[in-house]
Parts: sequence; structure tokens; C-alpha cells
Amino acid sequence: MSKSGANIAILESIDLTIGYAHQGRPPLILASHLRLNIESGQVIGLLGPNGSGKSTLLRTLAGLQPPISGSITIQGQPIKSNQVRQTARMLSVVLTDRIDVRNLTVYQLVSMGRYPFTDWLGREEDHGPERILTALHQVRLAGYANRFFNELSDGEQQRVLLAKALVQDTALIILDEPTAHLDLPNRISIMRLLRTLADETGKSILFSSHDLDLAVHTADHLWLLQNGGKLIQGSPRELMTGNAFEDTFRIGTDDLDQDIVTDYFRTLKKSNIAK
Amino acid sequence: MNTKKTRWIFPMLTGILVLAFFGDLVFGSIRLSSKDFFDALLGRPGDQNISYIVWSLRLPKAITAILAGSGLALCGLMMQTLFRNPLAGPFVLGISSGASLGVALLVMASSWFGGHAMVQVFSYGHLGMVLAAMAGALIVMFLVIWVSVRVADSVSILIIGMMFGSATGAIVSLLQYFSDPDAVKSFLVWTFGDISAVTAEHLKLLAPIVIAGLLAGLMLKKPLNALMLGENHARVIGVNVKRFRIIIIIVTGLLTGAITAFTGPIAFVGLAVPHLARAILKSSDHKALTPATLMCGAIIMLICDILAQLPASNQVLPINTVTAIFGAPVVIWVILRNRRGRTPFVS
Repeated sequence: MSKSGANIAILESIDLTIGYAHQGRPPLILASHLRLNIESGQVIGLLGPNGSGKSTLLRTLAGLQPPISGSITIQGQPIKSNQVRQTARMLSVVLTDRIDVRNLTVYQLVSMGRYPFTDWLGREEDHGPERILTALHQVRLAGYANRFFNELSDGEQQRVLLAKALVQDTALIILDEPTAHLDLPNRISIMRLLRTLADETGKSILFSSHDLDLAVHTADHLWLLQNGGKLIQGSPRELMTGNAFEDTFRIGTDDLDQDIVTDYFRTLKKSNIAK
Repeated sequence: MNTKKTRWIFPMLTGILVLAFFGDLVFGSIRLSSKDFFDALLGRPGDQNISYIVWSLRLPKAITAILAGSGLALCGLMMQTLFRNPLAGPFVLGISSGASLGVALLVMASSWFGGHAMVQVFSYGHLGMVLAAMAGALIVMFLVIWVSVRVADSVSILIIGMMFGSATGAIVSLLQYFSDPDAVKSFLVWTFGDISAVTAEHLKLLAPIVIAGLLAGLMLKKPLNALMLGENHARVIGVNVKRFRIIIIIVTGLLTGAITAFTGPIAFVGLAVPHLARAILKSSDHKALTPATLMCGAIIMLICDILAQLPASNQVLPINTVTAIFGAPVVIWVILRNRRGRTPFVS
């Protein structure tokens, strides 16, 4: 996997604690004292079992919910969850929430990525149309501009949302489970697209996934978030040599279940280290 | 991207609007010859009575129809977009129920204390009734805003708005139960809706509020387009969801409150017209959808007013019955059309 030479820090978190604050009760803490950083052009995969707090971590990094404590900076500027417009200029987010709007064209949807930059009347900018068509080309959807979004396949919709994130012109793109609901060819194609975009544009990409195999192939760096809030970081190769995967995806209750998981990781490691 | 279609849709809507406007001036319980009508309209010397009918009765009524139709339709559109619910309308926030509570209190509760005299003083169409309705609408609006600052999601606002509506509706029922039949009747007549009660004097108050609301609604096209995707999608492209939610509620509250105060609650226009505009435009882009909704609302209201005059020449139907009879088939049609759209393999 290629990695560009001069790396600039894009995202940094210091002593970050994530979770949910409750009024009058102690907060629910999912992970604490996280020290994270993402460099330019890096693709980072966030993996972890259900309930470990992957979505919460992504939502916190994206400024969609405030951290319990600690700070997050993007290119040196702090992220504040109440300043959505500034945040939208620093990072873009691809969500899995379904968009159910009829008669909405791909072009119209992608153009909404320019929202933080257009004036309050949403007038088109000088180079707006060019940017949008370029982004559609980058996600391999050239010629789709006038198609209706709700008539596209799930894989195509995902790529339209990625194009919307691209026109937002941010150094970091965060994707929450971009391969959920997709079949295998589409999952592979989305992951390859993320890799290519990072290499071609120098943008950093952070995605969460349950596709361990694909994530291992795509990412420069993995964040393994365990139940209990421990986060293990490293390159896929580094993590493969230890027991990090088994520890992260441990199932405490059933021996047979755990054997199957261990077998799975043995195969995964064999196929990846052999390369 | 529907520029080719929009190009002829807006001139067409403008044409229909002008026709409907003049139609509403010409048709009425007193038939006017076209010569008399144009004489009166252009201020040529002629029959004073006809001049009075055109200028003091029909013109204010037609203008009210345009204001009420476009205002309610805009509220319906904003509510449907904000709540992403095709069945939302201007009345979901309970604001018009607040208006009816104001009127009910004035008409019925006053009859307990002052007897008929009070009802006579604040007789139908009088400014006192308007002020009572406005006060009721504003109180509910502020309650809804107070709540919406405190809850995170729009669905809760929708539910709470409907609860306010139900509660005020129940109080109105109680008032009716304990009031004498005359007072109940004058309240019921108010609920039928009447745009002819709005005089030129009233328009001086109603028109600025509605025009300000319409302009605000037209300027909200960018956040409305974003909110249509869902609140999370709107947030990640930089929309301050909470702020725009409150702005939309204020604009809707002022429009619905003011219109309901002057004309009584007019059903269905707000719910049905945005669907009509979407079907005509085949676009969900508020840049075109908002103006089209305003124009369709004005047209439908003018047509409903013409229909309310026609059937029995010297009897006028309550406007609410006409809009509902027109609105129900539209809503049914939209639901049937949506069902067809969801099924794949059918174009």
C-alpha cells in the first residue's frame, strides 16, 4: 500500500473521552484518554465489535456530538459541536441514514456539498458545476448527473454521497460503515475507490467497517476499538502478528463461537502475511 | 435541473393565477356584465353599487384568497419538509387550535359574563375576534418554540405540537359543552372559515404579515433543501438544524396564526397544495418548489372561492367545505401515486 512521503497532521485528538453525558447522573463513557492522529493521504479503518462505540467515536470526531472531555483539532483548528458550518468546512461525513426524497437528481444532491461555501440564498458559485461534474467523475458516476437519486442502486447511492463529500473540499472525509447494505463486488469497489481517492487527492479518509478482510487490504492504519474502551492502533501488518484481532473480537460466552472466530483470524492472517 | 419544464410551468401558473383572480372578481352572488365590471374596475363613471361591490367586497376577498392560499400552502410545504412527513400541514403545530381557543374563549366564555351583548360587540369578523385568535395562536407558538429549544429531534416537536392541538381542542369542546347555543353557533360559523369577512381595513394588518412570511419562506430554500435529506445529513453539510427549525416554526406560526385569525381555520389547502406543486414540477428543489407552491395555493384558493359562490347563486358555501371537498381527493391521489412509486419495475 502506497503512502505519500511528507505527511502533515490532519486530525489530532488529545486526551479524548467519548460517551454520553446525562443530566444528574454519571456519564456513560465508552472510551477514554484517546490519543488519535490522522495524517494527510492516510486511509484509516476503524474496526470493533458491535457496541464498542465506533459510531460514537466517529460522531464525536465529526463534531456531531460533544466529547465528554478532551479536544479534537483538524489542521490545528479545534472542532466544536455547536459550530456546524465551520466544522463542515474542515471535514465531510458520509452517513448511512437513508435519503428518501423523490425527484431529487444526483446533481442537486451532490451540489449540497457546497452548502457551507455558498451564500444564504444558495446561489451557484462560478466553478460549482465543474466541481460537481469532476466529483461525479472521480466516483465513477460520470453521466449520472440528471438521474434521480432514489432510482439508483445502493452502491451507486453510496458513491453519490461520497461525491457530495468530495465537493465539500475538506482535508478529511469520515464514512460511517460505507459498505453496509452492499454486495461483495460493490463493497470491494467502494473500498478501492477510497484508496484511489486518498492516493490521488491527498485527502485523509477515516471509515468504520465490519468487513475486516477488506479493511485490512485498504487501510494504511487500523484502529481496533474494544468493548471496554481500549483502542489499539497500528498498521494492518503490525496488528496481524499479535493477538490484537482476537482480543478485540473476543466472544466471552461460548467456546465454539470463540473457536470459529479464532479460526477466522488464523485464515485472515495467513492470507495477508503470505502476500 | 428541470429547467426545460420550469420554463413553461411558471408562465402558465401566472396566467392561471391572473385568470382566477379576475374570475373571482367577476363571479359572485350578484352577476356583473363585463362592461359594468370593467367600468367599475377602471374607475369610469358608472353605477356606484357595482363600484362598491368590486372595490370594497370582491377585491379585498380576492386578495385575501391569494394571501391565505399562498400562506397556508407555504406553511404546509415547510412543515412537510421539516418533519419529512407528507401528511404534515400548517395545523400540525397546534397553532390554529390555539387560534380557535382564543376565539372560543372570547365568544363563549364572554357569554357567561356579559351575555349576548358581548357576543354582539365582538360579532363575527370584528377585530376583537381577530385579536383573540391571534393571541391564542401566539401563545401556542411560543409554547412550541419553548419546547423545541429543549428537545433534540423534530419528531418530538411534531408529537408535542399535536398534543397542544388536542389539548386546546378539548378545552374548546368543554367550552362548547357549557355554553349557550347562540354562542356555540357563532363559534361554529367561525370554524367554517370565511375569507369575505376580511375588509380592506383588515388587509392593512394581514397583508404585511403574510407578505413578510412569504418572503421569509422563499429565502429559506437553501436550508429547506438540506433539511429534506434528514437532520443528520443537514448537519454534516453545515446546517444549524436547531436554528432553522425555530425560524421555520416562527414563520409558520405567524402565517398560520394571522391567516386563521382573519379567515378562520381553512383546511386542506396547506396539506394538499405542496403535493400538487411537486406533482406539477416533478422536482423537490425548493428553489422552484416554494414559488410554485405559493402560486398553486393562491390559484386553488381563488378557484375554491369561485366554486363557493356558484352553485346556488345567492347562497355562499363555507370556504372550508369547498377546500376540503377539493383537498380530500388530492390527498387520496397522492397516496395512491406514492404507493405506485414505491413498487419497483413500474414506471
